[in-house]
Amino acid sequence: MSSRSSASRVRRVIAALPRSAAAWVLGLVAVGWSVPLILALNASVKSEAEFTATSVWEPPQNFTLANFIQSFIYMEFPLKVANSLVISFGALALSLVIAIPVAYAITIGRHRWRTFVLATCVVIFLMPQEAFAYPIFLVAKLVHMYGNVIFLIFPLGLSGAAFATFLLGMVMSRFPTSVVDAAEIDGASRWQTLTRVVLPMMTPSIVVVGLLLFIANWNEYLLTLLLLPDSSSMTVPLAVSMFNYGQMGGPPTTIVAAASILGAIPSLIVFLLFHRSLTRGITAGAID
Amino acid sequence: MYPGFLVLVAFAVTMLVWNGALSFTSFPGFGQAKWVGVKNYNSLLDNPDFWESLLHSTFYIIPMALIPTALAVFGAVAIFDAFRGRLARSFFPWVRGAFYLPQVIPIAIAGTIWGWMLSRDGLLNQILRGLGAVNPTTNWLATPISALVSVSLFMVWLQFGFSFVIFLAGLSRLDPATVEAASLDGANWWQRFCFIALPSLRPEVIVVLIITAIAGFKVFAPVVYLTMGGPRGSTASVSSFAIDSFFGGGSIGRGSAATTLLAIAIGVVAVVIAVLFVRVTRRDGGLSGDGS
Repeated sequence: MSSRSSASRVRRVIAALPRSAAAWVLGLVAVGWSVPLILALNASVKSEAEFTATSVWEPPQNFTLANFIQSFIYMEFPLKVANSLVISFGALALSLVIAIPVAYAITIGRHRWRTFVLATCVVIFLMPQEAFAYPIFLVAKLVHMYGNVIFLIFPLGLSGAAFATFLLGMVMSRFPTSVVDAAEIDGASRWQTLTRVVLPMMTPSIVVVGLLLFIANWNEYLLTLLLLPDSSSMTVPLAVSMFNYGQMGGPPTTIVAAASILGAIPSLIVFLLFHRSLTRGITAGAID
Repeated sequence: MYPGFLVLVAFAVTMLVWNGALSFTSFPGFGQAKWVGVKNYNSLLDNPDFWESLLHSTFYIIPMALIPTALAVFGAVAIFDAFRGRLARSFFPWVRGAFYLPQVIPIAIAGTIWGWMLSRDGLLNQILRGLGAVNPTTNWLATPISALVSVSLFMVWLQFGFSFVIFLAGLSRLDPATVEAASLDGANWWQRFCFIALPSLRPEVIVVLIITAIAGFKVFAPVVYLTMGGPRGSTASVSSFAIDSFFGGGSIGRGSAATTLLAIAIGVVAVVIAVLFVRVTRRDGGLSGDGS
């Protein structure tokens, strides 16, 4: 290897690096932003003895998964995941089932009440959930579904529907009328236009909205806190926060850290999938 | 249209039911089945804890809306400007992801981790020890002022990513030729920022500020999961105060009064926004499917 080619290779690498200081600063800040998670991760793989002996920065000498196993079992993790999945998917399905036809009707369908509907949706999703919380609690008791995971699908699904209608309305309003007109000329009914023409073309946007709803439902804090008192029906985030208060003075930090990481993993998985769709969704919107 | 219409009616009816239930809650004394008229509202307004929580809620607009949005605008423009070159490009999604991550993690978990970081043997104290400070053993969440500051920092950490991602997307609308022309004309970074980037981000900034300001005013989870309302209520927001009244203090009527007031305040703002929004969309040619 001649010195000339290695020198030019080095030069190429240097030329490819971000030039301004701002980029480096931001990069470092980004790393710093993740510090809480990195530290939790670090703590979760240390044994308790090692954790108290070392500083939070040092990587573990004896990597251990015992904390994960312990919190996994103690939290009945699979059960909590199942609860969270049921609620998140159920609510998201309900939201989409309501939102898609409504968004279609008010944009492409040019329904008379479109501005009213959209305005109402905006008002609803800006409202504080706390105002609805107690009545929802009472309804739950009334129908004897207090503590039941299924019940949560309804309030979450409905408030999600407001949000979804708004977002989907925004996207649908950019839908090319030429395609709709062509379908109508071909004799399609409104319903057929929706299902056979619009929906297939809108799938990426629907996926993005669905993902946003899923994440919001999964991370939901207020209603799950109020409506799920038994540990057997708790969702994952709820279970993790309860974990902290579980025992006398709280369980060892290493276990709490492991529990937190476990609880965050499903969200992270969704996020990794979400990342690409988010980009696609945003750039698709920007291209219009 | 008609399927949509029917579903819409079902939705509106359900919404009305919730609203009915909501006005239900302003029946003071409902939990104890005693109608006490406006007594709950009166006692609420006389309650110093309520006013303190109201003060906090208003204050929280700063770390939830103003600070993250301002930082995000600068950050988005800086990063957009600076990340050129192939190596840098591949870092770009990671940086964006790192900042957005706090929005993705369940807030209960984020709160747990931060609570641990700020505790006596947590990260912050370890850093301070490393920097040479005499052994600090404060639990940063135990004193009113430091708790408030900690909660605010937590909120900034949480909210930065939201605005950041939105502004980044907005900036991709910007024509690089304009920016090039400006820098050729001799505009420095600050001028390019003020006169090109900032104006083009105006719609996003407005939307983000509105959403985050309202979120800040009605904030509940960051407060509860970090401090449970703080040492003797010093970090409580109106929402956490209200929920506390419902399920902690046993005073249902007081909680309903507080949430109703919150709802009315936000409702008024929301309706104003909705009206403005309607006017803007009407002016832009309406919502009919006219994307071609």
